[in-house]
Amino acid sequence: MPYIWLKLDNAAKLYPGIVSKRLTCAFRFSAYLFDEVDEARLRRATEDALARTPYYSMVVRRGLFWNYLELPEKPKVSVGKERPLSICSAMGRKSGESLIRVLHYGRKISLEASHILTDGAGALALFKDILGSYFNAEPLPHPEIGRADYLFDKYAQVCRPTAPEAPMPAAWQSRQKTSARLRATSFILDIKEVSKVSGRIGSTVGAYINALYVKSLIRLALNSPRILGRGEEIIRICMPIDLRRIFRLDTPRNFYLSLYPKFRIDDSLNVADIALSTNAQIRAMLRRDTLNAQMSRNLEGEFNRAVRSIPRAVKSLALKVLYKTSAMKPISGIYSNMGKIVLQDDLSKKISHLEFLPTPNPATRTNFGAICLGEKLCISALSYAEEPALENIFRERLISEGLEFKVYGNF
Amino acid sequence: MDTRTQTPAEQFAKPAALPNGQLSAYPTEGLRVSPKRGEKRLLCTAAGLLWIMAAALSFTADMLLNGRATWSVFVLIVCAYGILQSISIVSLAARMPVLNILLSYLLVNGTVAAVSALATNSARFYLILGLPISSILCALALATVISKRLTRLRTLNLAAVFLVLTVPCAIGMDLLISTYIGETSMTWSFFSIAFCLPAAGICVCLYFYLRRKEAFFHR
Repeated sequence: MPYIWLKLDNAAKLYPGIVSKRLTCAFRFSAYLFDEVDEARLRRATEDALARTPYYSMVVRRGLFWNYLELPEKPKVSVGKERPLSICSAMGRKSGESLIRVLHYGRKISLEASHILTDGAGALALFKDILGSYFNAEPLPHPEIGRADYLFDKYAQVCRPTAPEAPMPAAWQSRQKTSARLRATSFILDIKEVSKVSGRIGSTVGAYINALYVKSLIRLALNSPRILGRGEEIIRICMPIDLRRIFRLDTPRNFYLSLYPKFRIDDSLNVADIALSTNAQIRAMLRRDTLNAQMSRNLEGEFNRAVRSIPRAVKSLALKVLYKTSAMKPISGIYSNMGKIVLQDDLSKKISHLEFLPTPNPATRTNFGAICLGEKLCISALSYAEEPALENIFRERLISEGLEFKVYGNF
Repeated sequence: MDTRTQTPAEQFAKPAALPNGQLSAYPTEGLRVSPKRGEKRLLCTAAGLLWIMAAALSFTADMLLNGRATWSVFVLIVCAYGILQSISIVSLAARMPVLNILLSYLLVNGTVAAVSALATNSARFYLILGLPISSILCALALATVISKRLTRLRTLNLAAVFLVLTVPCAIGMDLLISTYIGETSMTWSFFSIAFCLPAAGICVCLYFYLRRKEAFFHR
């Protein structure tokens, strides 16, 4: 087999440098079936899916100046039983380590992927393929791997930034005591009910969930001591958006951009205000010129000759320090919405619901992810906080909104 | 096209010729593809060069020690035989893994050496020189093949490790044989040092240059 390697894409260049035991840069998709999972069948399904899209078998390697992806002769992807309390554990910390893993437990099939390899939409494509193979459904058309590389670079060239972006000021962050283990809490809601409620206030479901999250964060902030005048008057949410939908392209690589809507910490703000504000801010940030300028700005560091000539070890160390000291300061929480998922054939009937756990981050403590399959909307919170304060506020918020839900977790 | 029937390599390496001669599936920058066949050819060429090196070393040593070609003639014959084998490996390389070919050739060579020793009535020479060297090389190749299957180390790295390990083995065996036949000096193990250490170095260099050069140094 020929030796195949790829440069890391722009977004992925950051992750091998900062990945650690706690900042794992990994996320998880889970499908809850109606029957027990057959491991041998799952293994075969994974092998089939990886054979169709070998990009996902790639491992990360250390280079002299940059890390890179390498296609191993034999895929090293592990398929096995989920270990208790092990959620989204780090991948790619060692050279040659696989960047995805497939897990099962009882009726649940999970796929964990590292951001070094792909983003949520990319991993979801593989997850759908694995589920399709597991149930012997027709395989979905795959993104042309050949177009996978440097899409970000290509589209960022359209519009160069005219002025350097001012650094984002700090925002409020939870100071809850952290725990060594991750706590996952999932809320299952009826999408029709949520659509009805969000429709009443003229908002999309995604913005409405974000509003519930922000409202819960505001309540948490007001309940905890704050130092005013140090950016602690606002809450800023990191919302990754899928660029595939905007540029109408398909790729298994990272092709997303983070948007940062912000909100005042003010108890008088109601959910409707926050939802409408989210919609307005996102619409403004999604203008093609603003988007391209941001993409170009993200690429500037990578294109800088001096940066390129610095050895990887030094770059990694600098990235780690920068990320810890300044990159996460302006962000109060992460909300990642995967939207409504459509599965091939009648697969939806064989799956109870899907669950999406976003990337854990000790700086923001609790992050939220949402995914919808059929009638069921699953909102999940992944938290390093010792006490489930935010989850409890969120649960109360759902009750006060008149929404019925089921809740479960790993606690 | 049904992608189920395609191997990963087929999916990646769509033959789109780039000006720099690389195969690429990407329109802008391309996947870097190092054909394995080329790697095997280079490996066999390197093996041929090593035979020549061994022959040159022996001939020089013989000329310096005896002032004329004596025992080195045999070495030269063996080396010529080795080069012929290296050339034939090239033709087999496309069909068989290099290590399997190497192992087969070492076993054949061991048998040829044993038959030659018996035919020329010099079994003692074979027992104290041919047999230990053949055994060490066969064990080395076999250990590399097995380790390749059991570990994640690459073939060339493994070969380098075993070549380096061969040196103390050869010295130990040489000393053992010398003591057994009443001498107290090392003889042929010097050649193993002269051969194995540069060979290990070449393996490591080949490994980096052939597989990872571009990926490792990319900026």
